[in-house]
Formats: sequence, structure tokens, C-alpha cells
Amino acid sequence: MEVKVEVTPEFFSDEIRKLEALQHQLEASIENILGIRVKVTLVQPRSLARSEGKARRVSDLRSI
Amino acid sequence: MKLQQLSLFLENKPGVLREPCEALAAAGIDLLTMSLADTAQFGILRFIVRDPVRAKQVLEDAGMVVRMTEVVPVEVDNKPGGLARALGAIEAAGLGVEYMYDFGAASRGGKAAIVFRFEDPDAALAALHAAGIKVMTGEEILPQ
Repeated sequence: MEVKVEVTPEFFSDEIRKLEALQHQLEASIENILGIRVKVTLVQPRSLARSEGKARRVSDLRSI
Repeated sequence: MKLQQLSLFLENKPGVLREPCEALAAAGIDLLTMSLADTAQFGILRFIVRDPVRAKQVLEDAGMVVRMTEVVPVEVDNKPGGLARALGAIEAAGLGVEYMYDFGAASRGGKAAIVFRFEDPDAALAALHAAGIKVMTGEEILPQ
């Protein structure tokens, strides 16, 4: 499962290792809280669709 | 003196290098030097311009995430061993180097300019001065 997280000015660091550490921290937090191991991908700000109606935050890409 | 460097987050997808370059070009802003750091998932474009405050605003208005970082332009001999000697002095001074890259446009008179990001830029300036390593001034580093 992939979780996309928009980078914001508040947590953007100039250092690669700090951004990578943030990714791992988010992955660990999600696993700790939800018990699901995910891959966190950092994406451009405002690149994730905002829904004005019913929220659609999960994309099921399985072929079944 | 310290320079203001801009750092830009780049998601790993097509167009992310072209878009900031187009935004800066539309604003008449010239890239003086740059360095691209990458991982499998994202990249960071670090670059220097004459007016970093305006450039930052241009890129933020275009929806990008930009950070301003202090870097130090160090003068080294522009010949084999020049950088190694400077790094030896930097290491002896106990300075931690986050990253470095060349500032080709500022090289002249047998001297090259290397941009350094130190863990503590202010401490680095003091240590470099004490070690006799020349830090370039604004007039020296920015192309005329």
C-alpha cells in the first residue's frame, strides 16, 4: 500500500537525510497506529486531488 | 560572506525540472549555479540566483516548495589538489560538510569557487578565517 504525503514548507528540509528520515518516521507511525506497513511517497504540494463532495482518499488498484 | 541558496523539492515525475526553470525564466531570473541531489523517490534542486528573495516568491507563487539556506563560497586553487587541500583544512578545523558543489561562473584568476553547506555556517566562517581559508565576498562570487 502506498500513502502519498504532500510536502509543505513547514517540514521541507534542504537535507536529503532529513526528508528520508521523515518518510521512515511516517511509515513507522502508520504501522504503529494502524498495524499496516505502507510505503510513504512525498509528492508536490497541492498535487493530490481535493474532493468537493464525498472524500475519495483510497484508490483500489488491484486486478480482481 | 554567506550566500542565500534556494532549495526546491522535486517529486519524481516528468516535468518537475522544466517547470521551475520556466517559472524563473518568465520572471527574467538567471540561474548562476545549481546542484541536483536525488534519491529513488524524490530530488532536491539547490541553486543560486542574484535575487533569491524574488526567486523564492516566483516559485512559491507557482505552487512549489522552496527553502532558503545559508551556504559559504570558499575559494580554492583551480588546479589538481586545490580542493583536496581546502578539504583537509576544513576537516582539520572540525567542520561538518553537508554537501558542496562548484560555482563555475565565479572561477577566475586561477581560483575556483566551491559552495559549501556546513552544519553551522557561522561557526564555519570563524573556523575558515582562523585556518586561513578564503571565503569569497559577494562582489567576488557573483558574476559581473
